[in-house]
Amino acid sequence: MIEFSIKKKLDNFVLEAELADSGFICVSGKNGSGKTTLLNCIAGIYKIDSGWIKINGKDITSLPIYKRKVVLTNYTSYIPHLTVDEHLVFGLKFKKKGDSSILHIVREKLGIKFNSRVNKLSLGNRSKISLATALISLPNVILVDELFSNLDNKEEFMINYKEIARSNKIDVIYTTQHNEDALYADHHYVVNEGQTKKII
Amino acid sequence: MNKLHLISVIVILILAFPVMVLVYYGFGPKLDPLGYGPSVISSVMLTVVSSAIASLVLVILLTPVAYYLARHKSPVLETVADIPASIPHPIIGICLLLINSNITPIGVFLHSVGIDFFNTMLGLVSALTIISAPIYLKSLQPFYISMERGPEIYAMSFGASEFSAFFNVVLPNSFRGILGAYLISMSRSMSEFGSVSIIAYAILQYPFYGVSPAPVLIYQYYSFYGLGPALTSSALMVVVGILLMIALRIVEKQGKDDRILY
Repeated sequence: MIEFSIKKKLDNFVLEAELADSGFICVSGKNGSGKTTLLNCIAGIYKIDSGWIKINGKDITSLPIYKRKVVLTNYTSYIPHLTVDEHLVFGLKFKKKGDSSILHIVREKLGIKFNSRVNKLSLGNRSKISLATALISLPNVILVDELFSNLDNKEEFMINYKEIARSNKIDVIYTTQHNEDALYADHHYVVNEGQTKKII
Repeated sequence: MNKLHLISVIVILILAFPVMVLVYYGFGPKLDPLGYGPSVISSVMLTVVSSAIASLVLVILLTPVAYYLARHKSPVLETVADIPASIPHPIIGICLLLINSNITPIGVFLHSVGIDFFNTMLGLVSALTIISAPIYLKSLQPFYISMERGPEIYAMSFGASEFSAFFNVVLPNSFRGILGAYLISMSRSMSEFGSVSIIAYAILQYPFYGVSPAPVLIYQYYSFYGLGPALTSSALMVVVGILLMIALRIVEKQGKDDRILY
């Protein structure tokens, strides 16, 4: 369960967002509407001007990035020098008890059958690895900044991703510019000039 | 030809002209066997080895510092780090002599444990390390500033501290930047005269017993013999310096190619 009520001043508008849901959550909006800023606030990259953020009832507003148990994935979220095999278990390196129990399920269901250096992969395959690594580390929340849009088998991938996330009690918030991507979501929010509105 | 290109070529040729003349006369009409004799070869070897070691020390000590300063604003730390670049270099030699002298408690302690800076490899490397530290920092900081932050943030969201993200993500992808900064600081060390002429005029340790660093030896030759052997030995040092610069250009070129993939 992720809940927040935040306010963040930007150059051209003020982001005021509220959300209280769990599951597979879609946040759609046009370019520059504040979607990425919203994810960066939840991840702890940006400090919010006022408000609060709770995950599973715990207030994480003042926690640094590395203590939030929130994994942010975007175009640059990959470790260039690692191979795919090394990358998939990368997130476990920083846990006291690294549990790779879902590694094989993730590999099979998300169709990861290749192994080369991550920076040699295509954008789509790199996005897959970035998203799969996030799942395997079993965080509380995964934030996906438009990465699903890069995938060639988007529909199948998103359905399987949602299933694995749900069975491991991981909430996922993903942003997109395309409203049709909300078809796979449990809840749908729209951001427009910094204001969030719940659709589903 | 582009006018800016033409101006650049002319200005750089004017700046390089004295050195080109030196290389021509040093290896040509004024070639002096003393200028490339065993003493000069040992001296050049000492300069290259001590500069290489000093730059290696900088890689170990200052790489995390360069990363930290690239990611955080710290005017006080940056100012302190710049001090060796803003004072006359003989002062660094005098500082090291003072620290190692019996005037200071730390000097007394260092002597009691057998550590001596004067005319030793340790003193020479220490002076070169301090002198070239600002150059190393200023060379490496832009590399980290321009490095994409996404991978670090990704690692931190898995629970890696900034320190851990540096060692697991940033450092393995810093090879070209570190090598470039290493070569720049090494070339700066090789040209150092002010501080080494005070702290390490001649090394009194094996395997460089009685050998002076090349800039000091060239100055000695000029003082004793005039231009003759000083010209040839200077030309030799110029060639070593140019070889280092060529290595740097190769690293930079490969670094640019890598960045496209990165």
